[in-house]
Amino acid sequence: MNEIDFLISNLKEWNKKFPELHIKYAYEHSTEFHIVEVEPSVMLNENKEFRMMAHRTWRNFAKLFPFAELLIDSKADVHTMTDVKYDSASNINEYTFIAKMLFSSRSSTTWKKVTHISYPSEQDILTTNNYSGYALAA
Amino acid sequence: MLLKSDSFSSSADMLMKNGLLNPSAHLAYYSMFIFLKYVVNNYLDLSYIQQDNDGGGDKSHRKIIDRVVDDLDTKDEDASFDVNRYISAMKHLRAKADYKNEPISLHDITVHLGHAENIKNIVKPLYGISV
Repeated sequence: MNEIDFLISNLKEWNKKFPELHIKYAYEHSTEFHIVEVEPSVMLNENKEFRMMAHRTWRNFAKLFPFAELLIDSKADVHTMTDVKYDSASNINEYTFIAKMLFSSRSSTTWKKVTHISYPSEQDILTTNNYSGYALAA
Repeated sequence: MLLKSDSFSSSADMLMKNGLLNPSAHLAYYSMFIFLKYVVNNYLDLSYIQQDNDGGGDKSHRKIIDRVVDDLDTKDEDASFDVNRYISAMKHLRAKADYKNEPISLHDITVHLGHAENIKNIVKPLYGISV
């Protein structure tokens, strides 16, 4: 298991325990840092259970990958978050959307995602036909 | 070494106030790192000579930092988490300040200097360092 797989596996565990948490993980090539941003920052600063979970991940990472650098922090402009490896928000949006489409009693239509450009808001899904970025499956 | 650490910290503050942000980040990092070297020498059974024998570079820094964080885990895991966070954030900004041509903001430096002070303020009472 490499650094990225290890972190993604751990971050998924964080999200299982704290589903409301927004976790974004990117690799910053210029500094060779693995950066994990956590929101809301109050979780990082005050939630003891989460802090200990994050601490264990951090210490295990340090032992398994002694030459790799990890930063777990709140969102900050100084982080270059372009090479994203994991983003809990996109997962939640996608799964929420697909679940609404599949299990909605309003329609038996199956929808197929054809582009990753944008997601409709919950309001769009429930009240309008604005399914931009999606098309009917054959 | 504590005096040296404090002098680096004061210098980092002066540089920041004069708009020299990259060297300020560098000195603030070393203020923190020299402080950790002091802790390892005085409380964690690795003398300055032994530390020097491990050579320089990021690998030797990692060894000093891990020694402190490992010991903090046995004293106060909650404090250890914060110290580890602050150290990592400082390493990250120092890497940008020293080696990369990326802008560093006054806000970044202010946070960075705060991390250095936070680390000392957390660690000192755990080892009974009163200076």
